[in-house]
Amino acid sequence: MTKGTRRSFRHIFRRAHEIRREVDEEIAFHLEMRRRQLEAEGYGAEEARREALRQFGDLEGTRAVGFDSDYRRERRMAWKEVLRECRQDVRVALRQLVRRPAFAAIAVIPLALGIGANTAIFSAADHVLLRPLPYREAQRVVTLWETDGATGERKREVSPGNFVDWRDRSQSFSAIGLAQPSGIDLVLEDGPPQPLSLWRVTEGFLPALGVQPVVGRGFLPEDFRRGEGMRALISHQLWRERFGGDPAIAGRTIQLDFKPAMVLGVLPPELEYPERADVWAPKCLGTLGIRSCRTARRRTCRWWRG
Amino acid sequence: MIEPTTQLLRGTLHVLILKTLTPEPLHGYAIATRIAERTGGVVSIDDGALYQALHRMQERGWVDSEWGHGETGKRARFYSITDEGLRRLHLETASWVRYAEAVMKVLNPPAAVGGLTR
Repeated sequence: MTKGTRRSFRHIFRRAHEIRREVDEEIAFHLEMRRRQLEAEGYGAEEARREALRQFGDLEGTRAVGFDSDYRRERRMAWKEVLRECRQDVRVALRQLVRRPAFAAIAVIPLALGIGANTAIFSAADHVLLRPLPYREAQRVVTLWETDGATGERKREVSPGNFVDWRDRSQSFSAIGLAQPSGIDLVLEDGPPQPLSLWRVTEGFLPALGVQPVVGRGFLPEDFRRGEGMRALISHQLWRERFGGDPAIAGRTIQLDFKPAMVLGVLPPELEYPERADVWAPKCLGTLGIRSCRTARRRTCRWWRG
Repeated sequence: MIEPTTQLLRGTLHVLILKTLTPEPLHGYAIATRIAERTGGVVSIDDGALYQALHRMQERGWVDSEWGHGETGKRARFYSITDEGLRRLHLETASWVRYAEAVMKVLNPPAAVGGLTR
């Protein structure tokens, strides 16, 4: 900021008491002239002073109007001056930069990199950290991990065996669920089967997040019993892209891995946890399931508590 | 003495002030005195109303002001009309004259004259 711009800024903020003084001085001059005129007409000194005041009318109102008017005008003029000085400063600066392109590059490139990096970081932070999670009572939703007592390895995915124990014995959670990643093929009439990502979830998983389907219904206890035939919830994106947002999707049967599966409903578009998935199917943890899961611990299970 | 209490008169006040300032810059007291003289004492303005009008007109850019020295030797603010003020004066004068003519037509209808044919 040049001296000129600084001066203009100071000017704006100093003038208020000066303006008030000037308004008073102007009125005082008028009253003095009026008093002299009345004295010339034969009034006494004190009478002339009182009459001059009477003839003036609303003294306080006039002082207020005068001050407000003048102050607004001065502020406007001062800001115009500030902008003019700033424009001049910018023009001078640009002329200097054009005359010395190497210096301009040294000035501009780090600035550009800094702004770019800042924008990228903030965009990521905004999405990951600042935006609220799209779950009901998100502050009560947690992810659970295992810690291996022997190796000290922390934040390992949970095994179903442990999950079952926690589900059955723990008092801390209003809902608790497990999600197992998998894949499945959507068989279409036109074209080859389309591979889809799948999460198999236990009964408590979606209730723990407080997620409600936007179409149709969520899983009910009977959906988790074996032998019921495949049931599934589909993602909002799959519903839009593959089924054209069909409002009658609930109850429709589709072919998953060449087996019929009934679509129960459509999940909301914000559900991107644990990762984005196309299909959600019920997972029932029978004894067979536990044994087979225990032999393959890595990346088989994740769960949340609410 | 006519008391300036109506909206109409406030608009007229601007015109009177602008016209009074056309020949030369004047301070507020001189403006008040000159208007009273020119109207033969018929129109005399509340001093406070005059100064409020002057400040408002300055804010709108119709008049400008500069500090100088008055007859008493003390500092006084002298007002002068601006280009915008002159434009305003011509507009308002034309409008005022039209208005006055219209009112006069109602108050003083032209007499009907007819020549008798012999």
